[in-house]
Amino acid sequence: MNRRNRAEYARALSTLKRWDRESRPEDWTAREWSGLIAQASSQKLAARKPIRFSLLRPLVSAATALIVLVWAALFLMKTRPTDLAARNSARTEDIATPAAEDVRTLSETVATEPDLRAASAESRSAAASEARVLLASAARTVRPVEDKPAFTWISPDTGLQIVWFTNNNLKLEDHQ
Amino acid sequence: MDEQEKELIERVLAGDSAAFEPLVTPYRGALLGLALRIVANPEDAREVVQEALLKAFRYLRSFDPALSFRNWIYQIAVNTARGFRKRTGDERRGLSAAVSEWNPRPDADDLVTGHEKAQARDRLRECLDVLSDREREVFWLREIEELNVEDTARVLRSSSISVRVHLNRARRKVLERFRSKFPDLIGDPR
Repeated sequence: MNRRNRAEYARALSTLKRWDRESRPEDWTAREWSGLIAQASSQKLAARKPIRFSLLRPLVSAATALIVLVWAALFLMKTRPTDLAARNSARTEDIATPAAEDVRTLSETVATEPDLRAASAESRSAAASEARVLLASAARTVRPVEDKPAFTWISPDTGLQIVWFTNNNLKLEDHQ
Repeated sequence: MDEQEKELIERVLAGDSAAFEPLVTPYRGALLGLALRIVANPEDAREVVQEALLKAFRYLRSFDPALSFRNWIYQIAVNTARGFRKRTGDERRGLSAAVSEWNPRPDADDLVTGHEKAQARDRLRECLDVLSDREREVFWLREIEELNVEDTARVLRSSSISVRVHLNRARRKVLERFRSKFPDLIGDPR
């Protein structure tokens, strides 16, 4: 409120107070009042209430909220992705580390065993053709198939996901 | 709470029921005014105060002496008046107000005084009618009974922020009503 409003409001309030004084209803006579007090004080005093529910209510709400929060936190800790990664890395550590003398690089191996060079080239070309086939198959089948039955398997250890579904000829196909 | 009130409460709790009268008598006018602003009818307001006094005596043992007795008894009156208003409903409130307007409580004073009183009551009602129930309670306790914001909040079992918000709104509305209805009463007297 600015100064003008404040001044006006002060005058309004003092007018209201005056009207209140002038219009107060008839109070009790001394006799009526004494009768009223006698009626009130003739009652028995109630015992002190141990704890009022109105005081307990916020406590109950707080406890409930805490339980929900703890439950949610536990649920998240159990299912968070970092936990899965930690478990996987723990499994990796379980694999015994080979002795230093047993470890050879691929080039060392190929150099010491010349037959492997041809085998390696062969396997590379086989792998490439296999990949081409897989990609072609994926391109054919990855389209969303809404009206065809399908089921999915997810490896709990590696996260590998395989989806089986029926193709247009109703033959079962898989997609990784 | 002052020492005298504390002593009176102790006496009542010790079984001296005569100490109840001096304990509550200083608040009788304020209680009646407060109840009247909530139930809007003098007869109902008297009934509310009577019920509030009965409750105050019955539950005096649950009063915390560290708090203010005035706030406690105002709180009882407000709750009783709200309960009364809820019980009787708007229909009865409207009817009572109409009856009261038609036949104001017998003013034994001369006709002029009676007329002035009725006029003051009507004007007061006209100004406060623009307020919601909550705003009227806050306005009355803070501005007319002159409780501070914290005590008002305690009596109404509300927060200080809520009291401030309602109070600002009520002040604005009252001022607007005065400007539209009684501009000559708030104009600069110079």
